[in-house]
Amino acid sequence: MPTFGRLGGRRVVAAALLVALVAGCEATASVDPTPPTGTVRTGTGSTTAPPTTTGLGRSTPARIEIPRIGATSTLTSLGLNQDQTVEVPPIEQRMQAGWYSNGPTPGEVGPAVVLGHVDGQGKPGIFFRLRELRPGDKILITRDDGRTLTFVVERVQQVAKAEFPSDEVYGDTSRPELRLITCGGSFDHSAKSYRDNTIIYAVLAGEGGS
Amino acid sequence: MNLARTLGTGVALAAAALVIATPMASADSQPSSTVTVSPAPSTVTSKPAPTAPPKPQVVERPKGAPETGGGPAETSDLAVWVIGAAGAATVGAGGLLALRRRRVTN
Repeated sequence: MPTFGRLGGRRVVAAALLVALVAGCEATASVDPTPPTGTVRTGTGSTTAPPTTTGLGRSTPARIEIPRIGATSTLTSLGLNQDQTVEVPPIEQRMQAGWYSNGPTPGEVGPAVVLGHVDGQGKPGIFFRLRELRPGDKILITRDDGRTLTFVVERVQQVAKAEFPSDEVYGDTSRPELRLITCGGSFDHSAKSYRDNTIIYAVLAGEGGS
Repeated sequence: MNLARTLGTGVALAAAALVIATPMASADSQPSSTVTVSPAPSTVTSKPAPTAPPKPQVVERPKGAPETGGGPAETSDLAVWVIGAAGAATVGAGGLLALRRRRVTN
């Protein structure tokens, strides 16, 4: 019967411990506690885009006509002032409407924004009668590509300037839409500004001026 | 003596067996010690690039409300004074005329 010497016993113990250590490490490494973080993030954030409706390509708007209130104007391109407020046509050109060019053109998917004065120099402006519009009224926009688009009013809103609904006006939409903006409400003589804005929300109904 | 060595070896082997068995037995329960194991470098590099937020339709959103009105026609203070003075003069003249007529008739 073989007998273990002291050295042999130590070897056996050392070998056993080594085997145990290696086996333990392998067993630990084979346990995957959580999936990789990249897998968790996959698929999130891609469903926030609104459903899109096919719109037209980009083409600068050239003219606006609102038969119901007898308003007709060419459209100038408007940007931002230094204080990041939206530009408006010069007050001396109160019958001139303008289009905000850092947004979609009318007919593209999104909110195209057209601005005009309610008055200027004590006389009525191009959008003096804008508040008279009602749902169903038509707005015609002629673009540089020769197309004339018909938008239909969905909603008329008068809102205090302090509560201007930036998200509603400038927020993404799933279809081609149009916003007409002018001033409204009472005039604050000390601030030399109207207290409200009148906003028309319209959607693209089709092509042609009918 | 041999008995002691044999017992020592046996204890060592038993301990080794316990060490081996413990992680296997606890693999399903995901012991906390395994959480500290970092994922393999390959899984880190395979992370999908963060998706850029969709570009807004209005690229630069204006601040505040548009100032699209110059104000209604204003009557200046001078005009108010002129109109008021003219009115007062007319009333005064009318009153004087009435007084004269009354005196004449008397």
